[in-house]
Amino acid sequence: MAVTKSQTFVLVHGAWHGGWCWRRVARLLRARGHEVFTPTMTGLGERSHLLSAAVDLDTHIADIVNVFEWENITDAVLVGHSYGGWPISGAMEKLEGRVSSIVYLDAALPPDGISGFDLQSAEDQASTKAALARGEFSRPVPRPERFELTDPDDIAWALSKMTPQPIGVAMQKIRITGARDRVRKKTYVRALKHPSANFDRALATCKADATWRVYELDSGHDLMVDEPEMLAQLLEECA
Amino acid sequence: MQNRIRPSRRSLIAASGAAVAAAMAAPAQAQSARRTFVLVHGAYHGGWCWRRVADLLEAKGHKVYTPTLTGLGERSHLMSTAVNMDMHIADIVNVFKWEGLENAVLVGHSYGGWPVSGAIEQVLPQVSSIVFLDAFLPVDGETGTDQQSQENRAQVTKAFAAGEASRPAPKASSFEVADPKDIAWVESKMTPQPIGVTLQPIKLTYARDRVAKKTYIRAKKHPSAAFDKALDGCKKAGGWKVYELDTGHDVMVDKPDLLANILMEVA
Repeated sequence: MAVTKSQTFVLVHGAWHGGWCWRRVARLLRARGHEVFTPTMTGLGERSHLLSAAVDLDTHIADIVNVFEWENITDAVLVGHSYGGWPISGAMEKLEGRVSSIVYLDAALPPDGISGFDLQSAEDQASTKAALARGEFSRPVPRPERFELTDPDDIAWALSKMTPQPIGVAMQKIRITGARDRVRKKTYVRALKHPSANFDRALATCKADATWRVYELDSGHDLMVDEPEMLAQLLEECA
Repeated sequence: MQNRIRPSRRSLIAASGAAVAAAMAAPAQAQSARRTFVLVHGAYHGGWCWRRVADLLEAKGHKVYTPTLTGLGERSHLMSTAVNMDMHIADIVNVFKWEGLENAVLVGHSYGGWPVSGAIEQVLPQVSSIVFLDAFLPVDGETGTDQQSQENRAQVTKAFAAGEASRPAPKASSFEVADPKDIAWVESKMTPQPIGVTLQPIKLTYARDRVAKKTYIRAKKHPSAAFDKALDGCKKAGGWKVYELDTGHDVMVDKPDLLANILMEVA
């Protein structure tokens, strides 16, 4: 494709993941001359030693906003995977004018005033409440198969790197005024092999709005792990 | 491939002994090989300070990590009295773990010599070259405040006890940064330095001395008795490659080309 201009990508991981998950995609994008930032949110991955009850959505929003501030990032492509849709939606409120393209990659597209907890199934809410009652502040890592990973090496890699997800980020209601909807280019990518009523609903919302570009892929949820080539190309298209 | 790295001519390197002279004369060894650099910033700084050096190294095909220590730079929203030496050590060690780094060049600037000395205790097999850039070389059981005047120590300890988590950033000129644009950049990015990291004694078995390649770089325009002593120790100990540069402290800001070349030389 004809994308030759060097772009800046900020790739934000999902729950239980960290900047590590973007390694393959980052390498491909850098090899094509782009600049790539893959911040790990507080309490996860190589920042998992910072996990505490104090980690909330504001922390994760600041994790992203501050990368823009300290690295002087402008004209960026901001990508959020899965849970990452929450903090990028919040971060956009402070990044207007500095993001030229926003991509929700099989991601949450929360409306104002909602928390992650609000969107959980009754069953998940009950287990979250029980965990909090036990004084826990994180949810244990699921099996990588839940993200449709099938390659044994990929499963081993993901399993060795995934870390518990802080509960606090799901308990705080997000405050947004629609900055994400004012980004010039907006893309929603749905990985259809991954069942999710929330993402189906987000996809439907974007499809009904002509200002969003929509991709429906026949892939699993962790496409940065098992479809890095396709994803890198797609992100260049969205830039 | 033919792209050999030579010490920049007027490299501001005052050859300080046989080690440096030999290094300068020796043919560049496998420097075209892709290497992994982990660059650890000093007090008040963050990963941001390495931007120019990182760009240069990446342009040569190397992989560069510039983690920001907790409480600083883009992690300054995490500042608290809980930030301590163990945390900064984990900040570095965990990058090795989660990125699966091997055969790395680990570089610590200034205060970064502390967490780098602590981190190497855990990542020794994954590091083939360690570089102290105008940096502290702490001894076992030492705390940051041990190097301060009694008056400073009393002040800092009192502030911390009163709930103050940090010390304010100084002017960029205290690091001999002179270019007005550089000063503006550095001063817009510097953040307070956590006090807690200077109160916890560091535990060392001196794994840093067991790294295959060891380098100490002294920036001579920056007055520091601690760094002079560290330089001296390295010269006496042997096994260390030593550079004495006619530069200010923030070499990565005002001499990025020179520094990138040296880092590739000692990789």
